[in-house]
Parts: sequence; C-alpha cells; structure tokens
Amino acid sequence: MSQSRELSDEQVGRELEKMMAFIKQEASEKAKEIRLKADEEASKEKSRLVQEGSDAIEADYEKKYKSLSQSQQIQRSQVANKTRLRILASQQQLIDDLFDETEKQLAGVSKDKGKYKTLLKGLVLESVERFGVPTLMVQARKEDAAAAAEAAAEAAKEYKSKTGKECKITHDESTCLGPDVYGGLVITSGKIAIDNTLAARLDELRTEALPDIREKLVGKNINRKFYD
Amino acid sequence: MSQKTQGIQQLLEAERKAAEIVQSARDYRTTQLRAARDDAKKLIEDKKKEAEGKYNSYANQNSSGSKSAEQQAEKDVEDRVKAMTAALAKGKDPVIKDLLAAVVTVE
Repeated sequence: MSQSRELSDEQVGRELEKMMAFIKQEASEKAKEIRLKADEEASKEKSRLVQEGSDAIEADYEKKYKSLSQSQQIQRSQVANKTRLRILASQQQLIDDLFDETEKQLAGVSKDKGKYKTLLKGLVLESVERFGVPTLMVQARKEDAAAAAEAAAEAAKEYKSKTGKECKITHDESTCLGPDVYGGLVITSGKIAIDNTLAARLDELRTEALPDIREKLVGKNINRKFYD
Repeated sequence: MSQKTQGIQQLLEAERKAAEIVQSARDYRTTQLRAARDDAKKLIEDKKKEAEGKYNSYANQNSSGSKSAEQQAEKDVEDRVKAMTAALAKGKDPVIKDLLAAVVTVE
C-alpha cells in the first residue's frame, strides 16, 4: 500500500461501506415487508378456512337434524297406524266371536215347530214378492222337506188372497240343503236364487248390524252423521 | 489480494447475506401459512366434535322420548281391548237375542 493511495482507499472503503449498508438495508426492508404480509395472509387464510369449515359443518348438521325429524315423524305415524290396526283387529275378532256364538244358537230355531213353519212361509212370501215371477222352486234341508212343501202351499194361497195373482211354488226334492245352513230355504227362479237360509240371514247381519251392535254395546256414536 | 477484488468479495458477501435475510423471511411466510392451515384444521375439528356431541345428545333424548311414547301407545291398546272385551261380555246376551230375532223375522 502506497501513501499516495491512502485517501482514495478511505474513500473507497467508505463507498464500500455505504454500498454494503444499502444492500443490507434493502434486504431488511424487503424481509420486513414479506413478514408483515405473511402474518396478514396467514391470519386471513386461517379465518377463511375456519369459516368455510364452520359453514360446511352447519349445512351438514342441518341436514342431519332434518332427516332425524323426518324419521321421527315416520315412526310416530307408523306407531299410530299399528295401534289403530290392532284395535280394529280386536274389534273384528270380538264381533266374529259374537256371531259365532249366535250361530250356535241357530240350531234351536227349527225346534219350535209352529214358529218355524210360520217363518218358512214368511220367507217364501218375501221371495215371491221380490222375484215377482209366478213360478218358483224351494229348496230345503232333508228334515225340512215336509215343512217346506207346506210352507210353499200356504204361501201361494196367501199370495193369491192378497194380490189375486196365481203363483206356482214347488218344493225341489232333487236338491237338499246341507245341515250347516241350520234351516230356512233357498228360493229359486231359473238360475237366480235367493238364499234365505238361517245361516245366510245371519251372515247378512254381520255387516248390516254393526252400527246397531256398536250402539248397544258402547252407546251412541257422537261422530256419526248418517242415519239412513 | 488487490483492493478491487477485496471490495468485490465484500460486496458479494453482503449480497449473499442479504439474500439469506430475504429467504429467511420467505421461509417464515411458508411456516406461518402452514401453521394457519393446521390451526384452522384443528379448530374445525373441535367445532365438528361439538356439533356431533350436541346432535347425539339431542338424538338420544328423542329416542328415549319416543320409546316411552310407544310404551304408552301399547298400554292404551291393551286398555282399549280390555274395555271392549268387557263391554262385549257384559252386553252380548241381548245383542244375540236381537240378532236371532232379526234372522227369524220377516217383514
């Protein structure tokens, strides 16, 4: 190092120092900016993600609650239906039992000969009026053959005296009704038949008599609107 | 070493250090973002657990409520069937009489 160069060395040195300081300064400022922005970005990103996540969770659970409420409703209505059906089934069973008991007593009807004959005659008469046709056949159980023939004759007579019209009612001996009809008659005109057996008449009541039975057992139905 | 080259070396060294400073700031950014995502994830997990907990306790309450409703319905059915059976047993005789009368009566 020569003496003549000392001053310019100092100058150079200072310039260098200045440049180095400048480089460092620039870097520090840039770094500071990057860090500041980084904090801001990170905070924003965190909020954004949390909000997104929360919204997704909310939507998810809203669906879950809704579906839960639906399945609860379905369950409630199923229980209600099941209950109603069970009660109806019980009612039906009780009514069936009642009719079965009644049926057992049908056998006793034909024992009172006098009343039975009157009944048979009435059944024939009713059928004559319903058919409106002058020729009819009457079917009966084996043991009722005689009573049936008699009823047919009596009915024809009464019909004539009431309406003046002739009618021919004969006992069809070729067909015998089974014992499970408990009595009564089947009246036919050609292919059409009116089933007036005791069993059939009771059967008709199985549906027809229900409102009446209900009333007798549990009293009037306050909700009923039609009484025709 | 000549002064020129020494100076240049010093400047290069300053540049190198400056680059380090900036890089360190960039690394900081990366770390912060990652931390933000991890934090967010954890917070969301916590919220989810909370929501799940609430939902489960609600569902349990309701299922026990509906069970007791079902039991009540069961009891109601039994009571009604008992009542019907009793009413029938009590009142059937006149009803049977009336039915038989209807069978044997022709208008």
